[in-house]
Amino acid sequence: MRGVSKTYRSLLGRSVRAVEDVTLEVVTGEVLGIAGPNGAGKSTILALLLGFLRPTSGAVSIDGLEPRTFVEQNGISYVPEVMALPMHWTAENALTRLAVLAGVTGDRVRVEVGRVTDTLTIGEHRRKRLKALSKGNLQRVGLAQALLAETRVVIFDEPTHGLDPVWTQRFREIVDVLKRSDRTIVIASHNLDELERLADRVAIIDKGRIQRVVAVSGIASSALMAYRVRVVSGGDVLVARFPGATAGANGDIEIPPVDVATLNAGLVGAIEAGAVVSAVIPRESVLEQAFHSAVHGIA
Amino acid sequence: MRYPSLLSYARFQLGDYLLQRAAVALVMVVFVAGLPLWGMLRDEPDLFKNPNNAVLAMQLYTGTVALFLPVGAFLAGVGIISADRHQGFFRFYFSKPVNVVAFYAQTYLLHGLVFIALFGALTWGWGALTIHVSVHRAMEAAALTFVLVGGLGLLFGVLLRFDGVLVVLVYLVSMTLQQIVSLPGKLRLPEWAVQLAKVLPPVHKMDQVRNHLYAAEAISAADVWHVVGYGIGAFALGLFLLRKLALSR
Repeated sequence: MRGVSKTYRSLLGRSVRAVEDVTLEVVTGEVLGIAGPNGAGKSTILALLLGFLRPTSGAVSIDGLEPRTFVEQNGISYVPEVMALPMHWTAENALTRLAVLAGVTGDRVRVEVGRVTDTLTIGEHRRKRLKALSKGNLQRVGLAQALLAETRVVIFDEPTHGLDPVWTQRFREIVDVLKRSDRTIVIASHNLDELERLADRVAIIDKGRIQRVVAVSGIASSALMAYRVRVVSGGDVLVARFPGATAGANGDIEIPPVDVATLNAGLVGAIEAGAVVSAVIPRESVLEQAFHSAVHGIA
Repeated sequence: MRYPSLLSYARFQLGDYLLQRAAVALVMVVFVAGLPLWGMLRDEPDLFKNPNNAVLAMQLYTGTVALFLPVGAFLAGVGIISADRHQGFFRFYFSKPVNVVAFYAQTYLLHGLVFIALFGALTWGWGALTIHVSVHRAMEAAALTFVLVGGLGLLFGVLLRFDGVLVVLVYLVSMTLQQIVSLPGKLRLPEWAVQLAKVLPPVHKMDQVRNHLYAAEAISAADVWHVVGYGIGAFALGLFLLRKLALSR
């Protein structure tokens, strides 16, 4: 995406600029996260990537092609935020139809529908109408249809929306399986924890603009982060090692922002002095810090 | 773009059309013509073997045609693209390797052909039970109706969400203006309304030609070309705009 802006105009002439001057390159083999608050422009960026929208200015291309041309030639595995399919279709019927459109032919249709049904464990719901499915099961049908055919580009829009914790975890495993050197995955989500676990880089978008792109896989050890340390005993030793550290009501030690080296040195010293540590929990991840800084202007 | 996938998908489009659209029109036909006919034949099985009852059979047929053709063509050609766009189904269909223009061209072609075939079958069945009506001419009348109504449905569906309302509105406005224009006497339309009547879809000609067709009367080739040209023009413009405009707006 080079200098891409998208302005929505109503018939009455009112205009809303959803995306402004976005320049973003996603390389093959990468998992890119797009994070932002509601209404930041995430879904607009995805619609531009899929060719559902045309930019008001700037250019979008996938593999050198205009997005719609790319999609028509190759297809994209896409899970929209909202499962909008005719609700009188059964889950099996929906998957069969979408498999046919995805280019699966002959007996392979049944095989592929069976495969994705097994992967998402929605076999017992195959014959149910979509309107009879729970939100979570509907979302699993949405995920299943995206796995029907091999594609080089995968786009998820709020993929774990409606999924329970078990399936949120399972989704991460599915993305891990999908990761390939010749495949690009884009995930838009406001779940920063999810993006931090899945993405190589995360573009933080707010008010239609890319505010920052954070490389998740290479978190700088010099970044200052606050931690909560759970101790079995020796909390006072730990507090003495970290200036500004305080003991919480439940005995956890709150350590003010330090870099990784200072954290480790302090922990080693405290443990040698008799402290018994059971857990070290970052109060906020690097991505969360970057997000808050970008969106709320908090350094 | 994988045309074989799209052709394979035609069976689903056919099923959707038959179950959700054609069935509505057929149920109407059953109530309007089927039940009265069944009642008459039950009481008097040889009713239509008497030539004197041919007028009655023709009246019943023309009444059915007047209902089924516009309603059937409307159901076959309206609310397809607009529904997919408005309800968001397009996000699933067109993230697959599918050409949008080919997808909807196939849908309309299929709807049109099945609509025409259904009307031919109904006419044939009618003829078997009552008096002979030309199936060939009936199918021509159905084709003529679908080309115009379907063409307008596709064009308006690409542009707007309320394509069905617009088709009905345009039909009524055009018909009203044409009737006023053709009135002898002092009722004069302003010049802009006369010009508007000229550019609006020739629905009055569609109805005239259709009536002549199923009455086995001579038809005006110029009127036929006007109707067909307008319908195909709207269809082609709709497909062009479908290619040019974004699916999501």
